[in-house]
Amino acid sequence: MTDSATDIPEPVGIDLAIDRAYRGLHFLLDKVVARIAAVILLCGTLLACIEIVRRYILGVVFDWGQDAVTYVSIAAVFIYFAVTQASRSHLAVLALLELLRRRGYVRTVLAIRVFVSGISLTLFTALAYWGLPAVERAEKLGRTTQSMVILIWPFQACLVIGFGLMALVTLFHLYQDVQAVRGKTVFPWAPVEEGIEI
Amino acid sequence: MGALGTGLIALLALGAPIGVALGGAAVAFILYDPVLSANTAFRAFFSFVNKYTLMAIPFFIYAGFLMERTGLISKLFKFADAIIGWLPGGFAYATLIAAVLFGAISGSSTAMAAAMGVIAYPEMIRRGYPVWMAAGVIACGGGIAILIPPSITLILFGIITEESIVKLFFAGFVPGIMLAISDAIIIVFIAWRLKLPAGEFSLGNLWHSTVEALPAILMPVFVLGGLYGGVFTPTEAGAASCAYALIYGLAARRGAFLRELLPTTMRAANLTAIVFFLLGCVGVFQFLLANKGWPQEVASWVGAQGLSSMGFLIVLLAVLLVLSMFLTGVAILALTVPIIYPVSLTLGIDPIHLGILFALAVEMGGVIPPVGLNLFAVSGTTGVPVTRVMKGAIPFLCTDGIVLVLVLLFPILALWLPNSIVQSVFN
Repeated sequence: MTDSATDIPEPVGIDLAIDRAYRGLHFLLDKVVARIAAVILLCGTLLACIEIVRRYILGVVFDWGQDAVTYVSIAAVFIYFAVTQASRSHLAVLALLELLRRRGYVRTVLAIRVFVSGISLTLFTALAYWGLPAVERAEKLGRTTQSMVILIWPFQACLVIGFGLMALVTLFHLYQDVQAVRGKTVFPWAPVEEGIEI
Repeated sequence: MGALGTGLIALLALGAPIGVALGGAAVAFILYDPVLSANTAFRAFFSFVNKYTLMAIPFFIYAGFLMERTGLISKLFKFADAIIGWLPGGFAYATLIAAVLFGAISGSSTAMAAAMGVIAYPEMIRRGYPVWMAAGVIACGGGIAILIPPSITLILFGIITEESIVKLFFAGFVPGIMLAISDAIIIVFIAWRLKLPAGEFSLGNLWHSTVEALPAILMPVFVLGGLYGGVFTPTEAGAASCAYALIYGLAARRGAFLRELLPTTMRAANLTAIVFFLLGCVGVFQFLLANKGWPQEVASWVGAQGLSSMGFLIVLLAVLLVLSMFLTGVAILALTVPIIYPVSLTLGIDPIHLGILFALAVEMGGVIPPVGLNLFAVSGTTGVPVTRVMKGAIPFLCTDGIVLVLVLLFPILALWLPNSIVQSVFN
C-alpha cells in the first residue's frame, strides 16, 4: 500500500505504532503545550503591564512583581523549547552539510544528522536527569526567588519538563534520521527543517 | 581549552544546533573535570536565563509581532511615502524611513526585512524600480533595526556582558542614523543613474497618512522616550510596548486582533524559545570559562602578541565578518562575546563601543552570503532569487562598511550620546 501523492509506503506494524506515537506527541506539542505556553507568556506580559501601571500611576508595586513576571515568562519559554525542537528550528550552522549535499554526499549528510540527533538526545536527557535533584533540593529547602515570596522549584520543574520533552522529540528525530540512512522515509508529514526568524 | 574548542567547532561544523554544540562541549568537559559536578550544568542554564533584564527580549519581540498584526506597518510606509515619495527614487527613501521607524518598534532585523518585503517590494516594482535595487534596499534597510533601539542584538550583548542596555541603546542611535543616511546616498546615485520615477506631493495625502500612522509614530516616542528619560527600565519599556500594541490592536481591529492574538503569541514564544535556549547554553559555557579562567589566559596571550587595541579590533571585525558568512547574529554573539569581552576589557576597549561594533558587523552579516538571513527573508517574501537580492545589496554593503570603519576609527560616534545623555539623566 503506498501513498499515491508521494510514493512513500504507508507505515505498517511497528512503524505504524511509532508513527502514531509521534503524531500524538506532535499534536500534544502543537495544540496543547504551545497554547498553554502562549497563554502563560501572555499572562506574564499582562502582569508586567499591570506592574507598570501600578508603579507609575498608583505609585505602588508588588514585592514579588518582578520575580513573578520573570519566572512566569521563562516558564512559558521553557515548555516552548520542545515545540521549537519538534520543528527543528533551533539555530544551526548548516553550510558544511549543504556543501556536502550539493556535492552528492547525501548518505554522509544523513549519517551526520544521526550523530547530531544522538548528541542532542544525550544532552537533553542529561540536563533533564541532572535537573531532577536540583528541583528536589529546592523543594525540600523551600528555596525562593529574590523576593523571598515565590518558590523556585516549580519553575525549575518547568525546565526539567522542557528538556524531557525535547529529549522525547529528539528520540523520534533520531529514529527518523536512522531510517533515512537506511533509505526509508518515515514521518513524511513532520517538517525536517523550518525557517527561523531572528 | 583546546579540546573544548575543537569539540565545539566540530559540533558546529556538523550542523548541531548552536546551543547543543555549546552545551554539549561544555557538559563533556564538566564531566571530564574532576572538580566540577555535572549538576552544575542545569543550574548554570537556569540561573543565566532567570534575569528580569532578559525579559526585555520576549517583550520587544512580542511587541513587534503585535504591531505587525495591527496593520500599522503599511501605514508607516504610506506616511514615509507621503513625506519623501515625491523625489526621484522616493519610495526607496520611504522604505528606509519606514525601516528606521519600524526598527524603533521591533528589534528583529529579519522580521522587519520580511515585513517590508511584502509591503514595499510590490510597490517599488509597480513604480518601475529595478528588481535588484528594490530587493537590495529592503534587505539592507532591515539591518538598520539592529542599531536602532530597541535592538535584540544590543539587549543580548548587554545581558551577556552585564553592560548597561540603556547606554547601548543610546550608542546605537547615531551609527543607525549614519547607516540610513549612507543608504540614502546610494539611492540618490542609483536614482540619478537610472532616472527613477518620482511620485507626486500632496499636502492632503501627507496630512491623511500622518494621522493614520500617528499611533505607530507615537509608540517609540512614548516607550523609548520613557526609557531615555530614565523613567522605564529596558524590560518595562518592552512591557509598555506590548501594552501599547495590545491596546491599539484591540481598539483598532478588536475581533480580528483577538482571533490572531494566540497565534501571534505563539510566534513570539517560538522566537523567544530559540534565543533563550541558546542563551541558557551560553550560560553553561560561560560558567565553565569563568571557572577555568580561560578568558584571562586568552587575554594574556593576546597581550603577549603585542596587539594594540585598534589592531585587536581590526582583527576581531575581520573575524566577525567571516563568521557572519556562516552564522546568524545571535549565534555570533553567543559564541564570541563570552571570550572576546574580557580580552577587550584588558586591552582598554570601551565595552559600549565594542557592542556597537559587534552590532554593525552583525548588521552587515545579515546581507553577506551564504547565511545572510535578510537575503533569504527578502528572497522568500518577494520571490526574487537570492543572487539578485545580493546584487542589489552590494552597493549598500559598501557604504555600511564605510560606516563600520568610521565608527571603528572614531569611537565618539557611538559614545557621544550615551556619555552625554545617560550621565546627565542618571547621575
